[in-house]
Amino acid sequence: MKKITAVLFGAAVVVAVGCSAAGAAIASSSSEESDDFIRSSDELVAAYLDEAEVLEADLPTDISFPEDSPYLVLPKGAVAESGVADAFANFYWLCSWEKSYLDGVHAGDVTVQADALDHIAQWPSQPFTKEHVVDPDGLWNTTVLEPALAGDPSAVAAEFESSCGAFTEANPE
Amino acid sequence: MKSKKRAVAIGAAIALIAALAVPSAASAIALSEPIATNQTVHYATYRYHVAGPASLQIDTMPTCGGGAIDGALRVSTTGVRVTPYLSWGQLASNPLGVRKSFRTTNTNSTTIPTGYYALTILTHGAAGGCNGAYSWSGDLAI
Repeated sequence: MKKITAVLFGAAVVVAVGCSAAGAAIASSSSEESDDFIRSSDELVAAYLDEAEVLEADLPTDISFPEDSPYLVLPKGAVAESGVADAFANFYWLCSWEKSYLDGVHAGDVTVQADALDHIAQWPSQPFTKEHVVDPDGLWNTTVLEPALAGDPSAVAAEFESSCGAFTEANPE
Repeated sequence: MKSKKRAVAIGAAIALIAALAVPSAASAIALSEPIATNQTVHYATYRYHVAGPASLQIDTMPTCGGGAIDGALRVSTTGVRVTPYLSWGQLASNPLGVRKSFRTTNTNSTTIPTGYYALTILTHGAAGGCNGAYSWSGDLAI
């Protein structure tokens, strides 16, 4: 399923990258045949667990992927591209390292901070990110990662606060 | 005369370099995505957005997709929809080719908070079946 997605996506996505006064523009052309949709919650959870299994070994100590989530639900009449399941696992992975980094900052533990930042810095080059995330101007790098690498954790804290609800619900303090 | 031309050329070059060097908060992204009939489709392309406006324009939709197409933004980690649907379609009141701004569901604000967003598209009033074989096209500025 994932291979098919990759092929379809590869055929479908970026054809041209250019710049304009308004910023970079990405033009994409579609696959003509793309019925690679997930059509049920069970299928969505199964696809998520497949991706979670790949990422499990790379989570911070004491963090694991939940077996399920109230956000992995596909109501009747809805379909999802297969990357939606991968997204849940990968954003969970990013949130877990952001939490580890922020815990390290709070505790004044520079070793934990450095290890977490090493992982956070891998986000743009993760296979999921390269396939499914669009950030042509590298704004995440300049607004989140680079300040943290320079010693300012505020943007990571803001991102964790606003974007990691599923992670914090699965890991209540 | 020559120095004037040179000055103009240098000025133009500086302006061009400045325009290319300044990162934009909202990139215009041309889209063409598979469609499913009478269904909500959650797409899996996630765009990083720094707090500010976001808008969508839908230019074409296949007739198999139905009479109307609605688009909304959802957040990355939970998949929760954060904007109400905007609509385009065959009716004169919601014509294709018009750019519309998203507003947040909670505060009705045109400032979409910083984060990763993906599109959810809903088609309705369909007469035929697409099921991923045809595409809509448009442009997302986010």
